[in-house]
Amino acid sequence: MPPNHETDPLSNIDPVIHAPARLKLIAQLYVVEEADATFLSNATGLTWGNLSTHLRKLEKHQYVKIDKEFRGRKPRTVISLTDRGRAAFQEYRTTIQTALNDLPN
Amino acid sequence: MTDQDLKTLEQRTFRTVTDDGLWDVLIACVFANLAIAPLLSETLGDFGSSALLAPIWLATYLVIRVVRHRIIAPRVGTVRFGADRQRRLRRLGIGMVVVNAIAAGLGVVAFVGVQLEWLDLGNGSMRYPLLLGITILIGFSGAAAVTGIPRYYLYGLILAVAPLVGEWLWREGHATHHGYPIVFGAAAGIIFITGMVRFTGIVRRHPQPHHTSTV
Repeated sequence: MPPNHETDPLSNIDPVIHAPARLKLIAQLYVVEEADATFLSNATGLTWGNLSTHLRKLEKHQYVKIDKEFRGRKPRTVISLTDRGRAAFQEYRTTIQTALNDLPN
Repeated sequence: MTDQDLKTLEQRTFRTVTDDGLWDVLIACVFANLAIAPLLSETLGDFGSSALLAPIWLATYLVIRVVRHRIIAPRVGTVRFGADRQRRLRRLGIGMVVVNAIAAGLGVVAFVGVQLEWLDLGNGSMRYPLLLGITILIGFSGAAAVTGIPRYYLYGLILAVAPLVGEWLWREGHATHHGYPIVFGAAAGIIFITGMVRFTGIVRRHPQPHHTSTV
């Protein structure tokens, strides 16, 4: 039987955000305007490869914007949360809080 | 993830990218001035000795900017903060200007007062050291509150007590120049070492990445 999305808040949880690594990334980006890849790698503890994979997935869902630029002769990747990503994270927070509050003690 | 969690995350992020120990070095440089200037004032005069050290502050500030850009940023990464943090930093900047203006005003009043002989600092009065100490404490407490870096409270306390201890040492005949070379020299040394330890630790913990173009 498919889950009832109105009565089961857990089924409304956005799976793109819910993965721990992407949740860390989105939460980190939510509290700043933009951050570069070096900072995100340090802050989340993700390897360069994992960071790249998760960012691509978030970018595919238009949750983040990835800009490549040069500072001097050095390449730099700057990542920021899109309005859609920001709204999705806010909704995720509401959903997960509701779901957890509804659980019996 | 509550609002408080996000606020804590933002504060931690701010500390990660800004608390690299280099501000401590600049603070130490500024307060070293209070230790060195009195010694130079005998040959260069009060204003001359301070004016000589001002370019050293500027040079230190410029070196710190270059080090931050070349050494810290590639290792730790860079972040642009939201409007709320930027607003608070602007307020801190204004607060620092006000505090420094008050401190400079106290200095000018003391200098002019002594020159015109309506102020006598030679009797070992604690009034001026106390005023200077309170001003320093307010400035550093403000900086600590806005940046979330608790050791600035400690710096404020050390530097606020310094002129009082210096005055006492001078009054007891243990030091010259109101004790400033000893107390501010010691305080600047402690702050400088703390900053360098922090800076070295960050550089050691964060090796320079070589693959920034692949993400």
